[in-house]
Amino acid sequence: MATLLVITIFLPIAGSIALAFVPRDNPQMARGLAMGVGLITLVASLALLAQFDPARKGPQFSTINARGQYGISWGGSPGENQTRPDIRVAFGLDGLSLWMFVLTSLLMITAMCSSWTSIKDRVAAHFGFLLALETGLLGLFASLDVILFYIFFEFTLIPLFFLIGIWGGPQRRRASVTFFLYTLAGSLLTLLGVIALVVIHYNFTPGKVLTFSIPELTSGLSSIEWPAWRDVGQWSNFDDILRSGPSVINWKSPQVIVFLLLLAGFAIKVPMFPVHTWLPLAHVEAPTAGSIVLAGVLLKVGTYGLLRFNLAMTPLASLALFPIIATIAVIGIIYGALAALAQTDVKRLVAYSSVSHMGFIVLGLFALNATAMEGGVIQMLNHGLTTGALFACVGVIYERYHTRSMDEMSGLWKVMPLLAFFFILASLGSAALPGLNGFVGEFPILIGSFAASPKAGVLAATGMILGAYYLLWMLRRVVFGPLRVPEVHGEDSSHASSHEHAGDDHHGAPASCPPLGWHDIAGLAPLMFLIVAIGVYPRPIIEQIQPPVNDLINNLQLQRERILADFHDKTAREAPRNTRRGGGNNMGAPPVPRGEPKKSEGGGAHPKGEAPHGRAKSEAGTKKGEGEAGNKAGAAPQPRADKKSEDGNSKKGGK
Amino acid sequence: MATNSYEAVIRTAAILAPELILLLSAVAMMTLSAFISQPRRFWCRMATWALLASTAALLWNAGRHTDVYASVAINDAMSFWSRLVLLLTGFIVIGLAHDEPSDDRAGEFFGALVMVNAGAMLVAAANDVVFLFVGLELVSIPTYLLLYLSRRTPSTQEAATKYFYLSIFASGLLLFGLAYLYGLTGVGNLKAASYLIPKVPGMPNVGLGLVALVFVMAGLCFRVAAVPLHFYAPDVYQGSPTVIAALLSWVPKAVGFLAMLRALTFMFSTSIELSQKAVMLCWVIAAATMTLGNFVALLQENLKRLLAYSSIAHAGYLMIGVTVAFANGEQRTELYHGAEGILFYLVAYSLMTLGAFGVIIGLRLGDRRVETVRQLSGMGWTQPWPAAALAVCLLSLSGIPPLLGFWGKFEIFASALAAQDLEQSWNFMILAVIGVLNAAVGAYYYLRIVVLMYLAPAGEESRFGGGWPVAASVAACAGLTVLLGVFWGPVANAAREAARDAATRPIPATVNTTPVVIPVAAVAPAGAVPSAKTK
Repeated sequence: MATLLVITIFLPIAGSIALAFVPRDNPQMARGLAMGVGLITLVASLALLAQFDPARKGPQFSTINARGQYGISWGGSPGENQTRPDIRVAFGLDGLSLWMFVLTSLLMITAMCSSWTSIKDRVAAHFGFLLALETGLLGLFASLDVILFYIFFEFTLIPLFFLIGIWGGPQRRRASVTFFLYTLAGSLLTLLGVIALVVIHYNFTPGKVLTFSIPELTSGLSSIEWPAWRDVGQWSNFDDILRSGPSVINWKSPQVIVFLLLLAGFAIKVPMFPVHTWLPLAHVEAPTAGSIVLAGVLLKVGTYGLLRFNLAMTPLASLALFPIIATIAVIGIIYGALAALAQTDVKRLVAYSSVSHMGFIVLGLFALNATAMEGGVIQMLNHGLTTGALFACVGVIYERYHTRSMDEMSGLWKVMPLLAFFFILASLGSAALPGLNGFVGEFPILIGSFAASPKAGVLAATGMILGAYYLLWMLRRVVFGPLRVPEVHGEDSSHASSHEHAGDDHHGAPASCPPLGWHDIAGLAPLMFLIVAIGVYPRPIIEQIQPPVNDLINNLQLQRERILADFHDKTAREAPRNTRRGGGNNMGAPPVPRGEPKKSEGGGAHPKGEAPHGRAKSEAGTKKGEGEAGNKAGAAPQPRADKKSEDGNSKKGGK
Repeated sequence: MATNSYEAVIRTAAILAPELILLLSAVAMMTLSAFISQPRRFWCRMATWALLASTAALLWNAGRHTDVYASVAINDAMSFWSRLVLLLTGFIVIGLAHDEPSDDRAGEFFGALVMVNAGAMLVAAANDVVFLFVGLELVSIPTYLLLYLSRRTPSTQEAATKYFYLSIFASGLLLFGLAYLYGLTGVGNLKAASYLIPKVPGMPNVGLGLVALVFVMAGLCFRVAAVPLHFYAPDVYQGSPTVIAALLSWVPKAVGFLAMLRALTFMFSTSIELSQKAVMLCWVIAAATMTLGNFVALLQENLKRLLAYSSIAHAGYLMIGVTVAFANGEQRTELYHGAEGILFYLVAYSLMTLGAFGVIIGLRLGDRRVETVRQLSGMGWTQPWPAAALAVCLLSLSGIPPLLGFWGKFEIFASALAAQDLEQSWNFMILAVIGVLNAAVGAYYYLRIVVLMYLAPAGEESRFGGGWPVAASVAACAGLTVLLGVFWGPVANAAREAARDAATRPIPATVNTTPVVIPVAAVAPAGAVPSAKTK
């Protein structure tokens, strides 16, 4: 299976190279070849999906080298008497990356379908760049080596840069350059963070292990004994973290700094609130295929990186910075929603809705409990599907109307009922209507973030309402209402901007509006199917993503226990002699609670319906614990009570 | 001495055979050109043969070693690999230069080119203060000739004069510094001096050491075009023929960094006080050089000027490596060594910068050469292959994986982060952050050219002139940038081996005459005691 995985990853770029030799005057051949390669890749990734065994731990489909490590050495064999940097070509999929992998190959088909007729010049090059981008994304999600990951991460910039720059809208040059530089600046900082992780792992693991492997780094970094690494802040219990702002964080801690370095690149990719400004421009100017891939998959790269690197490798800093990240995420949610409300351009509206929805995902991932994180991971998939579908629909509309201004169009329902149906379904999925996929992702996120921070939960819920509002508002203007078809501009002015026709209504001749082609339907139908299917029956996907999510959460819990133990050790040492003996012992010996969450975590999947119930209970418990702690701060037995309630919290959170 | 002096001389001569071959053929070419009249093709072919013979001699020499404390030239891994790279880039330069000079000056021109190569290789092999200086001058003096020879226009004259006076000045600084370097231990042999420094109590006189450091550094900063001695580069590059600009952007830089490694880093990193001072100095130079180079490059319209500032910026990245190399002597070789990063980066830099210059040399608009960035507009579609090669080189310069330039940056930044524990200080982390932010800024002006080539409408009619040697050189540069980007293992291994060899100081064969026995190990930094792994 490892071979199949590697072939799946590199097949598209082979197709891309083959496309370079397709004669220029034969676009049909280029399209056919690209689509063939895309379909084979999709089938191969579905085969991998079918072969995936959710019960097995760790990455699957990976080659194992002689020393029992993932992957094969890249860059020569290790030297005899020296540990040499051992960067490996290691691919594998686990529950977190599996669905991203499948999503990539699926959305690439949609992207190709959407550019089937809309791209008229340099067709071979267009499809070639799309396929190159596919290899970049597939490789990125399947990488088990930090450097390999980074290479694919950066490599995706080049094809997308050309896609936006050559086939984009009127401001394409600015958009492509902004996108490229913005992302590059962030990702170079991420590279530093990655190298720092490797160096720290090397310096502080027993036996000085130099590794670039993601699984090895993840497990190694969580167990290193370096006081500075663990000293990320000053607090006595988890609730402190949620309540207190930047003041308790130890900004000089290596872990916090590495976290921030890693965050720099991923936050830009996501994009999180203050660094989202490249996104609307890139989305609006990109050709439809570029928008689909950009919104559908590339933004997930950011959250995937947060999951793989920030949450997995710098767990304590993730804990410590939760309030800040949550604040930024909530600002992103609200801001994106409000900005979407202000748009008249459909594509821009969808772009801003991405900012809002990605805020949800980030909030879910950083709420640090299993419910929210699962929701976040599923939402990564869901957002890819719905936003990809929305952009594809907008692309179809633009191809026919040559404008995206909502002021100029309405009554789509009457001209293209099928497209209107797709558009409505995708919008409702995006607005998290129960029964469609968005609900499956966003509802757990809301529950989980309520538990972590009620304030964030309430605000995020507001964002959800706003989301439903702007999407329905968009539907009302575009799909319903009296029929209005904007004047169709000549075919040659394919890059024409939306003209100013706001005033006059062009009561449409439906003849100017050709029906959906087979390729449009072929691109959208699978997404529609999944939007409904995931909404109705998400269980198989949840089962696949649960084990890695539980691993992450377990690790976070364990780290939290340890930092609390550290803190209590410190206070016990510093406390005056008159502290009661028994209390001191309790504080110094946390092994009993430490074991607990692990055991309870193994329980596996429980029906979702139970979650809110248990959540409320545990929250009450937490509150109680806090109250007591507040009353008698410093009294010896209190921390223990605290811990118990927290454990209860985490126990329920794990389900 | 384990070996007698005669044998040592013979061995040294054998090691220096590649340089001797080059020098002899250079002298022969320059002498003959006065008496016989041949077309430039003849001289070009002769230079190529000389380089080929030299390569053969170098390969024949592989694995030949001498007592490092007795010979002026050594053939360790650093010397071998650097010389090999210099020879290979020598072929590329000759390919680019093949139709540059007029027939009547071709003999001198190619002779000087070969001589520059010989000088550069001497520096790579040098293990002696004087020898090092001779090598450096052997690079400089033919360069003056090349600047004057190729074309006699006022701008060329100005460039040549500027370069000549500044270079002489820098050589003076360098010589002054080298004298102090010698005075530090009283030993001319670089390996011996670096071996002695931590061994003898009170040996590194900090005052003397600082003078040596500052002056040698200043002299070499001129060579590599680092702040504050960078200012000549844009004018000289712009004024001189493109081939010479390509040569200037590569050979002196390589030579400068090799000399820094040989003469400074491995010696000063053995003494704590001196290495701290050196780190401080180089930190500032590195940060200033890359920031200045990148930001000024943003404003450039002229291609050669842009590449000049870009070469300054790259000198800055390389200076990060030097900073790191001062901080890690023999220690930490298992992770990433600063010297390793420099050597790797130099390979990457040579290919990408020579490739970029090569495309500019080849592209013609009618009869004119391409001068400004704007003239490249639309080349991506009218001249697909040269434009693709230029795009590869530029993307590599901006450090996009999986091209070779990325691995260069990776090694440099990795060595910076591996240089010290993050607990103690954040100097290297800050330097690395400055470095990556600069890389992002730098990406803008490289990307601007790519954007113009691919995303802008075509301008004038253009063609790729210059004949097959230029095309082959450019193809070699771009092809290797991609190929080695994917299979970077050999380069990384060679760089690693070179850095390790250059950093180790074997225990001398006879120790009873030197005051090594004095137990000062406690004074020396922990890792500075030579390990017994060699021999």
